[in-house]
Amino acid sequence: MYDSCTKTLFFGKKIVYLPTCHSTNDIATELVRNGKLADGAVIITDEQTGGRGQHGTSWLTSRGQNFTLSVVLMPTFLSLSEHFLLSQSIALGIRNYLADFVSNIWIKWPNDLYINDLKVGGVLIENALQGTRIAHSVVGIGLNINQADFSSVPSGRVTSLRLETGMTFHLAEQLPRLLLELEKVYLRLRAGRSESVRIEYRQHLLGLGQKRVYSIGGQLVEGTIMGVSLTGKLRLELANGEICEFDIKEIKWQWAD
Amino acid sequence: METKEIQKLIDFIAQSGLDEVNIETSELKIKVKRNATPTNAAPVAASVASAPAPVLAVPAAPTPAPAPAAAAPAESATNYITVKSPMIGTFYRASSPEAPTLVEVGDEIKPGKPVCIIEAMKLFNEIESEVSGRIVKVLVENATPVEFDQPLFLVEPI
Repeated sequence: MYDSCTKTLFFGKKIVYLPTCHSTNDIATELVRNGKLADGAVIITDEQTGGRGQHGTSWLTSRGQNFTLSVVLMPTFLSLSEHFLLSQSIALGIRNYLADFVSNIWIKWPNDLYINDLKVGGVLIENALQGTRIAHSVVGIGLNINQADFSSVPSGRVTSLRLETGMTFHLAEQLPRLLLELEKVYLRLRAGRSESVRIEYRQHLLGLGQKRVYSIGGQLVEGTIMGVSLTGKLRLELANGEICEFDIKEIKWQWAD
Repeated sequence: METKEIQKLIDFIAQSGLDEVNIETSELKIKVKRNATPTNAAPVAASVASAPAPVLAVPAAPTPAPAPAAAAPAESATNYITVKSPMIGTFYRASSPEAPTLVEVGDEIKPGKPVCIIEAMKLFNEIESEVSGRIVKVLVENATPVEFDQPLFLVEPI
């Protein structure tokens, strides 16, 4: 169903398509550990039965309508303190892919993709560390493309490329385009142009420079997102002018409605 | 000298770390000697789970609580390898809540064997062992925060 990519250097040269599987990340991890997958290999499925969001939260998707895939990467050039750059690059690559079709695409810290205020995709990265060196990374990507009915999502705060554009997409044609955009940002990172990745990631952060209300330690607090720290913490300017950094579990997004 | 005073004196000597004390006054002559039998066990290592030592054989600890005080140094005194966290994050013993734990106490591990997951900023880092041995103790609760360099596992080399 999916042909290997012709326009990339190494992303998607090998594509493993599984009509259905438990989790593309788990399959990719198993294969890469057995030495069966090289840098840039892709595992893609029509139906993932045990997909994961952040540790334990599930990511449900309709069969064959969306992108559910994992990319194997070996970012051995990144030090342990630079890991967040990988997260930033992937989010930015997906954003750049979506930007060909829609506007108002935002990266919701740390690495979810939003169109306006609705979630369109997410990223889950699993690294295997040996000491302080990354042996390999498995980058799981879920991106809503053709799904039109999200009645099964309780929050309703989701969308797809189809809902935003009115078009339907041929996944096999779109995959090389997505992988090309991911690779472009990744190559910048590999070439040491990490500062440009940080700057662009910041430009597309949802809520940047806007006064919004966040839940911090159970209290509603008004703050303005200033950017992220080198390790990926969210930098928020509070009402008293103080800038504080928050870890992912310390701050919760509050939606206006 | 009253019994109470003698008791106090023995307690004092027990906590002093001295092996033998001889006191002589005009009224009495008292000689207190530590129980000689456990001297072979002096390197505390082998006595992790042993019964509390006889009162007078208490090691030179300032507190009068012999058993718990002895347990901690006992472990570190052995040749266990400590596997430490390479980063700040949240410690998980399995790759997902429904997955089996990566290692249990008693499991043998080798370099490359995944032992835990540490999550930081939605990056899930599988920590692979760099050592060979057998897991003796898991030092951190599942799903709790860990600091850089915090000990995670004790491993007995084999």
